[in-house]
Formats: sequence, structure tokens, C-alpha cells
Amino acid sequence: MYGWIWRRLPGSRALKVVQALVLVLAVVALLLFVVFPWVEPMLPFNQVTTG
Amino acid sequence: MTQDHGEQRPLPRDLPPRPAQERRPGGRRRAPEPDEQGAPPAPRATRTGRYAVPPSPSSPDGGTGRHAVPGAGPTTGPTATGRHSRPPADPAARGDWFEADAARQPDGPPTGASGRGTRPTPTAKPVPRRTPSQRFALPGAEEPAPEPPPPARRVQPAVPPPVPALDGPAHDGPARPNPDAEATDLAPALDATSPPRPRRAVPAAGPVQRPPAPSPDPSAANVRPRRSRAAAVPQPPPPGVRDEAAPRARRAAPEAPDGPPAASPRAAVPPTEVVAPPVPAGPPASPATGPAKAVPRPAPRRRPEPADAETDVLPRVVGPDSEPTDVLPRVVDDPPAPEPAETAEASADGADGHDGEGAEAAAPTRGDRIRAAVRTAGELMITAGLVVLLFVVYEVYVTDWLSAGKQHDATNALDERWKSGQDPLLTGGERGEHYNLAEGQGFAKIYIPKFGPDFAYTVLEGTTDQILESGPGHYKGTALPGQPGNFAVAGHRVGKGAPFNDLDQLESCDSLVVETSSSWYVYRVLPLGGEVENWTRNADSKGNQPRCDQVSPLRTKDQDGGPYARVPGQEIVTPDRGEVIAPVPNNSAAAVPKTQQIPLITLTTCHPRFSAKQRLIVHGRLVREWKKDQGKPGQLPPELKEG
Repeated sequence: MYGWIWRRLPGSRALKVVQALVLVLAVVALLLFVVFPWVEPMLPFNQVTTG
Repeated sequence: MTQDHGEQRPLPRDLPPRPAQERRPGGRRRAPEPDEQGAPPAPRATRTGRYAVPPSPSSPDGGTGRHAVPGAGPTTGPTATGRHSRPPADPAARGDWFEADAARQPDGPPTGASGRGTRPTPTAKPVPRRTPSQRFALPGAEEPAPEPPPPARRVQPAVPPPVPALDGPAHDGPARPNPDAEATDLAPALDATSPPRPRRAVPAAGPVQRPPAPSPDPSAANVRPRRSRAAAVPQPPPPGVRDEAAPRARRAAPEAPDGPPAASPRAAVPPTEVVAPPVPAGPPASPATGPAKAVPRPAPRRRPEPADAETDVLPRVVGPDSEPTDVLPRVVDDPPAPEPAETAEASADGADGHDGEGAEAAAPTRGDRIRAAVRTAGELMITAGLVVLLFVVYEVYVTDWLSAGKQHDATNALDERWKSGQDPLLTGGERGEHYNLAEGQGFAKIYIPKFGPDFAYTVLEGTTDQILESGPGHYKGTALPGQPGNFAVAGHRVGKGAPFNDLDQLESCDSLVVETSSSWYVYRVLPLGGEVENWTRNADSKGNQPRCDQVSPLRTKDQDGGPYARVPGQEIVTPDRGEVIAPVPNNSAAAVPKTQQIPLITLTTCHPRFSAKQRLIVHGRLVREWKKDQGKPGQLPPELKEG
């Protein structure tokens, strides 16, 4: 999977590294600011209220 | 093969100095003292032999030095010797190799080893490990044995008896081994890269081989087999080695040409010449430096080669004297094998650039598909693990950062309202009745001195998840700070600023200070469940401490303990226990008039940490109210200094 992505990144190795970093950061940002906040309410360890 | 390379390496280094001196002296010495010298000569021989063997691999240097010259002359000797010598160089390993080979393959490979051994095959086999045996073998053939210790010399001695034979063997030995080895190596290489080279090598081999064919002498025969082995050996490696072999082949190609000439000189001057060849070898040594570098690559490949190649090669070599042609076909055969290897390598390296090829190559095979599927599954699982770890980081740290910003904004907004006199708690007229606080809007601040002087949170109205991300939330409908009833606040224990992270560490009488625009309200934690009985029994009892002067169990002397009988300082309940925030906690049915209700504070959070299984509840009661003096905005209640 990762090999497949790497092979399809254009440019030199350095360019590929930069692109890979951008991709990783994009995925992390997507997770931190979109996916996790959406998933969080469905998870149990932040329920602090009673009743 | 590695051994050879290893030997070769030494050669370059040693060769320049040693070759001339060593070989000459060595030869002399060896003659007198075969055994002792055997070891030393062996290395030399190994060198030569190595050259001979490696020559093919260690293209130029080995080729030139070996060239044939040394290679041809010495090779025969060396090849044999080389093999023999190899053992010395790597006493144990090489010796074993040879011996093993001899034992395993008495026919072909053994022939090589046996060549010497063939005559005295039995003896030779045992001997092989030690050059001496070879020497013996040679001596057996002729006295040269003593000299033989050095491969080149051996060859020479062999040569004298049957000059033609010698030449033949020598040529054969060197030529074949070199050429064959090269050819074989080349073959793979050729297959992969350069076809012409193999041809070159072949020709060289051709002539050499021819002579050997004529030379019936065991030496020659032996040599051939050995060569065959060598050739065979190289063949197996080719697939894996091809890349390396290719360079070798190239190098060898030039060498090969040299080889023939070298052979000629050798032929001309059998013994002395032999020495001479070494000298050339010396020069090669200089190139050897180059080869030495190259050598490392071949070494690993060569090792594997022997085992595989030996059997296959032997038959072919032995059978036809016209190996040259035969050799070619072999090469041809080998190529296919190498190709797979290459494909495999390509697929492996596919990531770098030749992906297309690798992918295509991989696609066909069912095993490749399965492998790809398993690999992808593994990558996905690892990725999933990393995502989960990232989520933990998000929960524990990232949400703290995000919540800190929201809390900061809420606090600033509250301060602005207080400054502008728009306190929602005041705008509604007299406090205590119904205030319509805007949901999500801050209206008070809470301090817990025990958690540090910097523990201050703005309390917002409402307890939705979104509100709680900004700070502690006030249960809608419960009492406001200072009002009779229950001022209930919920807060996170993990992440989101985790304002109530340490709520379980609160003890009875710890102060909980709530600030509004007009007042400071000081609450204190009620006696814990276990402290109620002995709250004031002794002078040392907690109830008699100064700061607990207004704190006492809410249980009355009534038979049932009164409406507040079940309100401890701390309790852990299930999430469905909504009555803990009732005006009279844990007694929703209590009919206590609003004005007679005790002003309480209730803090709720999750319990245990990272779990929603239970709720941690802390109850406190109002013990003091400090009216803010508008003239002294900076005045703080003394309770804030409690630690």
C-alpha cells in the first residue's frame, strides 16, 4: 500500500519525501480535526454528567 | 567464491610486494619444505589460485594477473593450487570446501580437486585441505611437488613432465578456470548484460581448453574438472550474482585477452615463467585494488555457487573437450535463472523506480499476489494501530490545547461582561429566582486552591459536550452560586483541559471557591462517608480543625437523619444517579422549602479515569460569602491561599 503510493509520487527522492510528509501531515490533520472530534462523542470516556 | 574474493583482496595487497619475493622464495622454500611452507604457499597459491578462480569474478585484476598468465600457468597449478591453496588461505573453510567437494563429487569437481586427487584421488581428497596433499599429488606426478606448493610453481612442475600437458593443463587450468569461471560468470552476466564478453571469454577458454583436452595428464584432467567445478560454481551464482558477474565479466573480458598472452608466456617459460606470471599478477594486484573492491560482491555469491553448480557443471565439463561451445549453451541456460532473480530484485526495488516492471512481474505469480495481500493487510493493521495511538495523543494532549483556547476565550468574554456591568446574574434582578443564562456562556469562576493557585476555570451554563470542551459546565436548572439548593457543575477528567482530573484527591473541608461579579463564595467539602461517625469525637478529630468550624455532617439527630442524611463529601455512583445533583442530593423526594435548603455545591466527573462506567461526585456546602468591594477590585478571599 505504502509502496504503491510511494511509487506513484512523482519527482526525485527528495521530492517524494516532501510529498510523503505532506500527505502524512494531511492525514494527521484530517484525523485530529475532523475524524476524532466526530468519533469522540461516541466513545465513553468523556461522559462526565449524571442523569 | 567469497573465499576467492577474500583471497583476491589479500592478493592485491600482498601481491605487489609478496608476489615477486614470496613466490620465488616461496617456491624455493616450498620445494625444500612443502608442509611448513605449505601453509604460506597456500596463501600465495590461494592468491594465485584465488586469482585464477576469482579472476572470472574479479575481472580485470584477477583476469590480467591471473590472466591467464599467472592464471593460465598458475591457474592450472593455482586453480588446482588455488583450490588447494584456498584451504590454506581459509584453512578450515576452504579446506573443507575442497575436501567436501572432492568427496561429494569425485567425478567432476573432485576431478578438479581430484585431478590432483584423481591420480591419488583417495589421498588427494584427504590431502586437499592441506596444500601438501596437492603438493603430494603433484609430486606424485612428478617431483615438482615440492615446488607445487606454490600454485604457479606446481603448475610449472606439472608442466615439465608433460610439457604439452602442462601447457595444456596450465592453459586449461588457467584458461578454463578463468574462462570457464568467467564464462560461466560471464554467461550469467552476459545473459543479463553483455553477450559478447562471454564469447571473448569463451575463445580464451577455447584455446586453453583444447590444450587441456590433449593433455591426458591427470593434472590437466583434474584441472578441467576443477575448472568445471569452478565454472559450475559460478553458474549457480550467476542468477543472484549476475549483476556482479556482469562487471566481472566485463573485467574478465579484457583479462581474458590478456589471459591468452599470459598463457603463451607461461607455455614458453613453464617454471620460471610461472614465477613471472605471479609478477604480472603483482601488477594486476594494483588493479587488484580495483578488483578487491569488486571482490566483496562476488564473494557471497560464489559460496552458494559451488554447491549448486558443481554437479551440473561437472558433467558438461568432463564430457566434452570442446567445452567452449558447450560452455556457451550453459551460459544460455543460466540466463533464464538470472532473469528471475533480476525480476525478483526489480520487484524488490520496485519502490525506487522500476515499479512498473516489478508490479508486472509480481502480478503474474499467485504467491506474489498473496504476498502483496498479506503485506497490505499488515500495513493496514499497523496503520490502524498508529491511528489509535494518535487518538490517545489527541484525547490526552490535543484536546487540552483546543480546550485551553476555548476556556481562554470564555474567560475573556466573562471578564468583559463583568467590567461592563452586564453580569447575567445581576441583570435578572434579585438573585435566587429564575435566571435565564445563555447556554454556553460563562457566568462564574471556580477555584480549588488545593489544586494550585493557578487552578481557575470559568464555569459555563450547560453541560453539553460542546460546552464542556470549553470548561466546567453548570447543570441547567440547578442553583446558582450562593443560592440555596445545589450548585452542580460537571467537568472533564481526561483531556479537554481536564479541570476535574484530581477531584478524587479532595478531602473534607477543602475549599471550593466560586467567584461571581459581586461575590466570592467559599464552599467546603463535606465530611467523607467514613468521617461522619467520629467527626468531632476527639480534639484531634477533623471536625475540630479550624477550617472545618463550619463544616459538619448534614445528618441530623432525627431518626432518619433528616433530608440530608445521605450527602457525604464524596461518593461514586453509576451514571444514572441523577439525584446527586438534586436540590437535596440523593433525596429527590425531599420536600424542603427553597429557602430552607442548604446552599451546596456538587462537582461531577467521570470515574475511573478513561472510563464512563461510574461518576465521581463531590459535595460541599457554602460556609462563607465575601462581598466584592467595588473599591478594591484586587481583594481576594483568604481561602484562595489555602494549599
